[in-house]
Amino acid sequence: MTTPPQAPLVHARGLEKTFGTLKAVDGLDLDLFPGECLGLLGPNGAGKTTTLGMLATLLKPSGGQLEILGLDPRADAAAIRAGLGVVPQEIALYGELSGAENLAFFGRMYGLDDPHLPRRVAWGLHAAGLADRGDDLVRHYSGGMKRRLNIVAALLHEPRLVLLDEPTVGVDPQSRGHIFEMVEELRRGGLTLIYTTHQLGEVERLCDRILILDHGRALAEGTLAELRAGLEESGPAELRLPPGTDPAEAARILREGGIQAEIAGPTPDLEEVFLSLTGRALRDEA
Amino acid sequence: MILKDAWTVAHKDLRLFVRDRSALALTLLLPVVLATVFGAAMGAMSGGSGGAQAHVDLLVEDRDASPASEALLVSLEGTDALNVIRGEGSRRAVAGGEVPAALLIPKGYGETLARGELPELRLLRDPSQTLAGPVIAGSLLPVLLEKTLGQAGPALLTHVLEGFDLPGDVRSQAQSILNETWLSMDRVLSERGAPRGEGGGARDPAGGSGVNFLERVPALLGVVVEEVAGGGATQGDSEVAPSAGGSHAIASMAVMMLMFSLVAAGGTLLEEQATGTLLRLQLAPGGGSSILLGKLLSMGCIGLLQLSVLFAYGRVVFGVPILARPLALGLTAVGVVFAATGLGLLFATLCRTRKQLEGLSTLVILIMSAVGGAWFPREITPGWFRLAGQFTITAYAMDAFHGVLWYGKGLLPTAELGGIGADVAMLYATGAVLVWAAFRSYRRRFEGAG
Repeated sequence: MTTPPQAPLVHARGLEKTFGTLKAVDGLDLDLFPGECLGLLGPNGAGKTTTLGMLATLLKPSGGQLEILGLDPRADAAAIRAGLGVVPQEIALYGELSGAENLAFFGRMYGLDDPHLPRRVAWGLHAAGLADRGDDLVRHYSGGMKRRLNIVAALLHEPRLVLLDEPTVGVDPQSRGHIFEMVEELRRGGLTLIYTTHQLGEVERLCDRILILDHGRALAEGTLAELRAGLEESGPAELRLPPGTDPAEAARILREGGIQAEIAGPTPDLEEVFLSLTGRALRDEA
Repeated sequence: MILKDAWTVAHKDLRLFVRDRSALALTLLLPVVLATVFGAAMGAMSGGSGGAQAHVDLLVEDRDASPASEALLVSLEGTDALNVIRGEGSRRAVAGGEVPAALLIPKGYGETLARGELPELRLLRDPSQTLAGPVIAGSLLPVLLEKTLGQAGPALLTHVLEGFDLPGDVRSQAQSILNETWLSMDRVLSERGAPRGEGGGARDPAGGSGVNFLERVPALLGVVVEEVAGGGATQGDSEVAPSAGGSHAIASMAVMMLMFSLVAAGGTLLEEQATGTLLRLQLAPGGGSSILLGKLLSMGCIGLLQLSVLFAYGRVVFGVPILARPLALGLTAVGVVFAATGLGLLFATLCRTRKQLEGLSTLVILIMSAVGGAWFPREITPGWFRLAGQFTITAYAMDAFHGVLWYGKGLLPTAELGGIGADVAMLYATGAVLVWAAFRSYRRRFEGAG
């Protein structure tokens, strides 16, 4: 007996978005299934923000097909938003309200009410590591505390799909570690995530699949292993040497055995994959 | 070295200033625009030239309908500063704020003049129309000198001389001296009052070099000046006597400051956009409509709170009768807040930055305040000025507030008083249009990118 395939929470075919003459997203295909965490990568101006905007129902697609949570965003934007959690890049909180007041406000905006709301606020403060600072004004929080609160504010209504837009910008290693743990906890809870960042190590650590965009198009999509394999298909095979082995000595032994081999460096990490696909030239946005 | 650094800093600041178009416009354009508005209004008040001159309404109720009263009327109509309205119900018209003053020509005016006696003219004036008074006085003075005292004065003197039973030649000599004296007095008074044949407004409303007709000359010219308080002033609910100036000050400050604070409150939309909280709110299921409605509500509460504080102060200090017509005042307050909120929201959705909003709102609100009657009564401004005022929230708000607080008007007209219903309705209609425009602008600006 086989398990019936689950419907994707995001289904896009030939998705397009144009601004005047600029094609920001150009024929994007994407399926995101429940429980997956997709890393969305791309240099500045690649189309990540526009893609997220369409997935968040803030931007209307110019062409192609898009379904989010099984619904058409053109017709059911409000229903989709009720099931979406979006963590914006900016710290979108009210500095003159306390942490608890911020969470209560955003919870109400998503339809939470007594007695559920206080419980969710308490959960949010705990999840953000702010259980003992909930009554402090947000403007007195550190950057990391604000970032953590920024994330849980998008999770109060228990969304099915969460979009995280560079959630670790400007935080110290400790807060970054806490945010990673939060995201991993969400993943263990079966939440579906789309995670954008310029920190490629974060994607390696947190995401199942990776979509690399540039000039509005998908350059590559798959697991990290698949992306690495794609990069290596045209190159030599990998030879793993035990620690402490002299690469030159290993090469000599192979040549003596009749194998013309060169010893390459370590396995390319995601950053190398990314840079080989998108190039090393700076992409400063206007 | 210090000077070089100072110049570097100054150069940078000037470059930033030039690139900030809002600041540039505010700094250079606003004074010019306000000077134009003030110049037009004040020039008219001081008897400007041509079509720009103010025409103050004066209702003349002629109960005599004699050739003499008709001659007086024609002379009054010939003055430049007065817009003479022939009609009846002068007391009601002044008390209801329909005209700033009314002149009552009593029955028997012509006959009294013919007898060489001074007829008793009655000038009813609205004390809240402080600037209209001197204009009316300056125009009445020469006309009355010519038509009333000019006729009755010599006759009176002749009558006195007859009483002395003087010999013929002495009497004619005495008559000649008295006539000469009278003409000299007439000339002096005329020159001190206003130039004959030009009508003209009061040269110095404060009474500096001009004759303060309303205080000094009435008895001489046989005019009884009576201040007719608005209906609201007689309904004072405070221990302090209602003050016409206080009523106007409270109304004008209420309208102008309300617009400033509500436009600033609307600017929180731009702040929320800058901090990202607007994005988060847009992502909530309610979306844009709930955001704007929420802003509308909060701004409305802020506006009503501000008005409440100002009116409470006005009642305590100026005796403004805020409880005399609670329904009319309440509906007016809500209407003004609604319209000002709509304006604030619209500006916030049109502007890209807080600086732009500050520049635009300062310019528009100050002009509306000047043209709409918050700084000086529209009754003493030229026709085009009054017409421009009709396109401002300020004008309707001022008329409604002043109507309730000073004249004691209700929403609907009564037998004695007009109503403010039309002004209040205009405020709600304006508010509805502005809010509708704000929603459209919001959608185009914040939701229409897709």
